[in-house]
Amino acid sequence: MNLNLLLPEIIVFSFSLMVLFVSLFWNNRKPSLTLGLMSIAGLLLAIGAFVVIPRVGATAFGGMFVADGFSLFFRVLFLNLAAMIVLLAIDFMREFQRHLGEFYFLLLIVALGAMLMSSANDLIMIFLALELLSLPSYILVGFAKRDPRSNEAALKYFLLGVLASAMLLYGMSLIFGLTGSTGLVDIASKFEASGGSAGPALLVAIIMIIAGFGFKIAAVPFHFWSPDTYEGAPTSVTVLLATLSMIGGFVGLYRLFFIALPDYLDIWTKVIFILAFLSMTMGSLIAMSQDNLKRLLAYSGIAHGGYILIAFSVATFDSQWSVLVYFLAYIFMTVGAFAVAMVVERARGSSEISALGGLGYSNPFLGVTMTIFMMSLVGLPPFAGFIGKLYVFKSAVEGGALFLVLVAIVTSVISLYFYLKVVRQIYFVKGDGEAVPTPNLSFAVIALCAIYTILICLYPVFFTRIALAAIS
Amino acid sequence: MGIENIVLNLVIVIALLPLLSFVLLLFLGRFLPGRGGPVATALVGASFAASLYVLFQVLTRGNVASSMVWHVAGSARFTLGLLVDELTVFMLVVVTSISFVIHLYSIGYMHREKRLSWYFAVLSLFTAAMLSLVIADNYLQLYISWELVGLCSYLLIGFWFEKKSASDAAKKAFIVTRLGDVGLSLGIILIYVSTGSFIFSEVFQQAEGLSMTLVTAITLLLFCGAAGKSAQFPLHVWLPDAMEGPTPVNALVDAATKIGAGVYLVARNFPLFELSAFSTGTVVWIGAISALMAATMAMVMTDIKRVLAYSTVSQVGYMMVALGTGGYFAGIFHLMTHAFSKALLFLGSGSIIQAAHVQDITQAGGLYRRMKITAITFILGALSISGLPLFSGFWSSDQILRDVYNYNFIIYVILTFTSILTAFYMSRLVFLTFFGRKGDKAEYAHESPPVMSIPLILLAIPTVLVGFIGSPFLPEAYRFFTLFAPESFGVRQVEANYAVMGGPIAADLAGILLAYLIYQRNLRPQDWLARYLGPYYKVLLHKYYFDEIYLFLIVRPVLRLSDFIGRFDLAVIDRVVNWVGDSGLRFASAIGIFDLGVIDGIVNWVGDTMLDNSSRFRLSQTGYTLNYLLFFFAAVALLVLWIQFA
Repeated sequence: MNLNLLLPEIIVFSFSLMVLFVSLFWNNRKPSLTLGLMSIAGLLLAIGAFVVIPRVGATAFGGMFVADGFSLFFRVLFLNLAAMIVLLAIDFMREFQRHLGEFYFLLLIVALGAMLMSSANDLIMIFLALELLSLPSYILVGFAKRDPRSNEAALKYFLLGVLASAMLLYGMSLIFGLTGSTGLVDIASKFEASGGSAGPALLVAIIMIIAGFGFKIAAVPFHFWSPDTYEGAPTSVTVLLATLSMIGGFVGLYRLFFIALPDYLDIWTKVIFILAFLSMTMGSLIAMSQDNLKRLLAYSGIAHGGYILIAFSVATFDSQWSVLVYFLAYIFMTVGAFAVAMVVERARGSSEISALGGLGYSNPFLGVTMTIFMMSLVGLPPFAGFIGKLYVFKSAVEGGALFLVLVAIVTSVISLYFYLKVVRQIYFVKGDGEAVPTPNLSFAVIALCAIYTILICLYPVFFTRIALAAIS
Repeated sequence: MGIENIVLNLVIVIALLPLLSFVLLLFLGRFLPGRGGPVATALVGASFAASLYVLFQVLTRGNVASSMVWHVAGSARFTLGLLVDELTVFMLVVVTSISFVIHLYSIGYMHREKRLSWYFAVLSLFTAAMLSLVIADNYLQLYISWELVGLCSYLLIGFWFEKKSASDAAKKAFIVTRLGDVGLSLGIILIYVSTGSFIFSEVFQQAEGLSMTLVTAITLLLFCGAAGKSAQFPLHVWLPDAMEGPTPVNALVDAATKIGAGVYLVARNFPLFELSAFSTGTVVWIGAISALMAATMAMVMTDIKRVLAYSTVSQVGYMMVALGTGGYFAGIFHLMTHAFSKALLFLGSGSIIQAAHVQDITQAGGLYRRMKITAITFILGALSISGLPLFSGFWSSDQILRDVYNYNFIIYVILTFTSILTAFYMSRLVFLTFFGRKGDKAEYAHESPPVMSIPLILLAIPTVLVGFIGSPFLPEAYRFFTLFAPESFGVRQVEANYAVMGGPIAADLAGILLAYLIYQRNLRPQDWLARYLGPYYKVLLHKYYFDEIYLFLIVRPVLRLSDFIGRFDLAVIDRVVNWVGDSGLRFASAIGIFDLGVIDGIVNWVGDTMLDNSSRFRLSQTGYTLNYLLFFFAAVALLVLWIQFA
């Protein structure tokens, strides 16, 4: 048994328990800071643990858990992402005096679920990882107990989430029934050996699995929960849903389809094609009429999910590494945008877009960085979003998906309209001049995101090299 | 280090100096004297000086190019590179010189503004973006700069955001040009797909092997981008609105940067356009329509800056016609003469606006005695745009008309007629503003301070003289100048064809005379034009109803669609879901396409349970979740149905 392969996961889990216990027995004056820093220590230690463990080419739990380039990329990515989210949460969870231990505990468990998903090599493992990712999220969304919107968001998310999990499980059971195996590699070889065309059962299974993950990644038409939930959840949790949880879903989708069902590539790419098309168009179109920044970012996330799905639907080697670069770009610009939204929400007490009025003059740092994030989300150079789109579109054109690229270009022009709405508030509207102080930790996160958003475009070679290494 | 390397490094420095100015002003602006204006001006001035040196080196020694690999990603190679040929150096000089003068002028014009360092920072970034656009050696780099130019123009046009019209105009300018950019990005993708390269020289080499349809498609797509940026019909609607921005910004946009970018794109891709007769034909006709239509609208506008804006659209139409007819040199030549004249006119109008606080020319009048420098330089610019002999605008438009005369007689007639209109509206501008009845505002008007009048004089010099290098009178200079384009690029023999020359001259004089009679001698009442043109006058005043058409055809439907899908009225969802859920599934199971036993069971069970419990859910819920759940099922059911058939 090769347990030390899971050392990073074990560290994260131990720290999550430690946070929980410490919060029970140690009363101090700044619980958010203490517990948050403790969580960060755990996450950093887990990143450090990768130095001493075998990084690629090893398995554990009888092949259910695999360490390869892909899993290395995402495990480290999720750890870093979780650290950024915790940093933001430290500033913004202060107002919740109670249950902070639970908050950080659940947050670390979500990260743990995402990490396990990256290494999952078995249907059961994928399902468990997904549940580990989902169940704490339901609770986190409803964390603001006294806020009815938060409660409503949590219940909606939970009800739909359970349905999606059931769908996924049903689809998986069909695949198990067809092959008699739960190991992804095993399934692939069984399908290859049988060599037949896909029967109706497999087709239904594919749809159900896509529906299950489609919920997690908020792809149209499985997206209905996301705007309501994004708006109602505490923003520290919304950023978690928009990044960690969403990318976790993509990772599961990737592992299941690329490893277990490569033989039926032409079938599932067709379904993904439809999801990509719908997500891009609906996401961008509906975003135009939003006035709430969190809702706008929710729809923008749906549209970006569509761009990411383009790469899945093309499914060439180039599209696979391209999408990893897209994830990197997406993470930094999205976390950055949410971070600015959080700072403004706290200072001005509203997450409406109009709350950003005059931000460019009352707090130039936030104004400039938010403009960078918005322009990057549009996909304008010289920002990360441009590089992400460039790679994905290029690989899609080469892979023969010219139609999707055409749609994507048109929708990104539409998207300019609603991202400009934000920039316009920042520079072209005189706000009430109310000062917006930036807490130190948020400042660090926003600055980091802005730097990466520019760096990915200026020096993409570093990031593409990582992505290539993860895929090959 | 050879001279080539010096030139290459210098070109990088030329583009970096304004960028340095941007960074400096952004972070240290508030600590700099004059809030950073003089510093920015000095840096752009240095850029200008370096451009002159590079111009000289390239004209005597030939092109320089260098390319390096930016990064390799998978099977794709992305390169960064510089291409410094005659077209590039020429653009470098035009952009840096005009930008320098405008920076200088802005020190005076904008000195009362609060966000002064922000203004100068973006103005410098605008210049840097345009410079990096013209030195790029590949489409990707060009596209990056292209978008940056758009972003900067957005920020500058909306600089006075306190006016709602200004921030609306900024948005319009950004989005309308982005509409054209859809074409550009598609064109670039198509180029990459068909040639496997982003680099200009490699693409041009392979272009001849491509099929005619492909080249036509590529060039038409590229032209979409150019038409958006250069405000050509039917994407011209943003430019007049952009006049809500500060006047120096209009000068920069109209003379050197954004407008120039579109013309530059066509000129740079001349080898591609040349291959497709259909594309060049489109370019010619769009140019001619823009020239004529904009000139007619300029005749009735009463806002001094709007007249100039329509004049820009019209003159850029000339350039497009020139490029389309194969007159590469004539098009670029006209870009240069127009740039100086139009920058001069805009800065002059800024001087008038600040001195007399009047923008409506019917309210002005008699300003000549009050502000002589502004008046004289303005008149020189107007004469140059009108194409009166010996002014630089004459030489370039004469070249264009001579090319067109050999190309297509109808276009020649259109352009000559446009010349009458041009001379008319320019003279109308001059007579109404500077002469005639003294307006109320003229009493208090005074000449602008030297920091604003000196730039006017600086621009007046090239406005008058720069044309001579392209004239038949200076054959030496001309031969030197034709280095700009290799033989194949269609440089025409320069022989003064006095018959062809005569038409436009007569047209100009007729236009000026007409304006003189109406607005100076008052032989006809001032509203003669309105009465004479009748209902057509109203059409012109409404700018051919373009804004209304766009609003009706594009803006409103898209917004409404967004609203519709966004609200997704409960009733609609409910009905759709129920309909799909019930009838779809029943229909499917009835004809027995596949066994729905299980799915049906689940759907019915969930549906029934939910319905039974709906009141309980509603206690804590709005009831939407029920619809979401049903929609989820309906989506899955539809997908399953579809995939079984597909």
